[in-house]
Amino acid sequence: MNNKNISKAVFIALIGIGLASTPSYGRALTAFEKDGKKLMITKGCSSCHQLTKLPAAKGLVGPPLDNMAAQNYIAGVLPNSRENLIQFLLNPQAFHPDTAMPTPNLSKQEAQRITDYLWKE
Amino acid sequence: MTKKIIIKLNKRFYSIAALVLLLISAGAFSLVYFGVYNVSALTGHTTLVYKFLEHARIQAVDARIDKKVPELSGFDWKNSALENYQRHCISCHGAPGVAPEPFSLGMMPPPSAIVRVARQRSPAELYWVIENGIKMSGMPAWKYRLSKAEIWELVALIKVLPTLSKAQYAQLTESHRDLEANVTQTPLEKRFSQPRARQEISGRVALQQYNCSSCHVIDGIASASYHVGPPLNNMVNRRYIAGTLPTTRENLVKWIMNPTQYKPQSLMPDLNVTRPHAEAMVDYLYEISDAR
Repeated sequence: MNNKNISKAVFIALIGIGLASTPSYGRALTAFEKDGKKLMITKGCSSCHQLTKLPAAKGLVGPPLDNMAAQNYIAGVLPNSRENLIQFLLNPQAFHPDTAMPTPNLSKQEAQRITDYLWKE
Repeated sequence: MTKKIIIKLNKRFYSIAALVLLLISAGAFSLVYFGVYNVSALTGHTTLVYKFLEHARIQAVDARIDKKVPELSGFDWKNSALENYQRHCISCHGAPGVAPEPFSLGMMPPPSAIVRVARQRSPAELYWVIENGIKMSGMPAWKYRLSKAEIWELVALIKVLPTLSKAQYAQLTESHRDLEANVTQTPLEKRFSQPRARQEISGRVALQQYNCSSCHVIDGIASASYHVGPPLNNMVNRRYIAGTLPTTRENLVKWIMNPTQYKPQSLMPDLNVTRPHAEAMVDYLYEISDAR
């Protein structure tokens, strides 16, 4: 093997390692998550909260909702989990009495859909 | 004919050089990629890495110290200096006849024996290291906790330590304890620290010095990428702080200084941020927000 071939082999190997270690992004939304996305707008969430992946949501009243699955706490008071987020959405004031967030008009199922969507995005 | 040979040699030289460079970078890449270099604190760096880092530290401090040093004999090293040393330094660096705390024995690199650095380092170097700390060594920066005078007093004390016997040091702290009993009980941080001039304080640095960056995403701070609290980018344009307090410059300062007063159930702890530091932080939050 001459020099050229060796460098070619090393180069290809490096590219291979690089590709293999890249995590896969961009799974399409499930039906539940799509429902949640719609609810984000129809239930008024988007007028107070910002979400980069949902261009309609650019409100600056509440905190941004990007990367919700990575957040440690909800509203700074409640440890973050899917179950706690559903409970919080159903009655924010139960967890943070003087919050500026109004109680959204949601069924349990709608709160679940929004949670599904936020945890995806 | 001759010309052709030279070109051929050069070509060969360059391709070999390129190959060697490629192999070196592939080697360095694999060391990291396969986790070969150990970050465990049970053992130190390899000799080569240790020497390299030590040299880098000495050069970096040397390039930055202020050669103008005040007369050390003008500083009182017996009162607040001793108290600050006992409170903030002894747990890692020990003192004549006093061992460091168990937690610091597990640190890597191990904190230096104070008498050794007292003998080897100049007052200017000691001052710089106390004020600035040393990244990734465990030595914290004290600039946002101690005044200049307090740091110079500590330097004066450290320079005295190698001249004391175990009994002399023990006697010194003993007589100090009697003295301390008469002092009104206010938190130490508040009793001693005189604020520094505003132009010496950086909001971006203050946000790191109070560890805001380990819980909040903040533009301009590389390590601030975690979501324990809400992101602070564009914070000043949001209507409420923590969902309750209307966002104004003054409310931001008050919230940072005392979050639990405004939202007792908040998981954000009080960090004893002083007003000048909180104001500098808020200035920085305005800087990184969209203009409105």
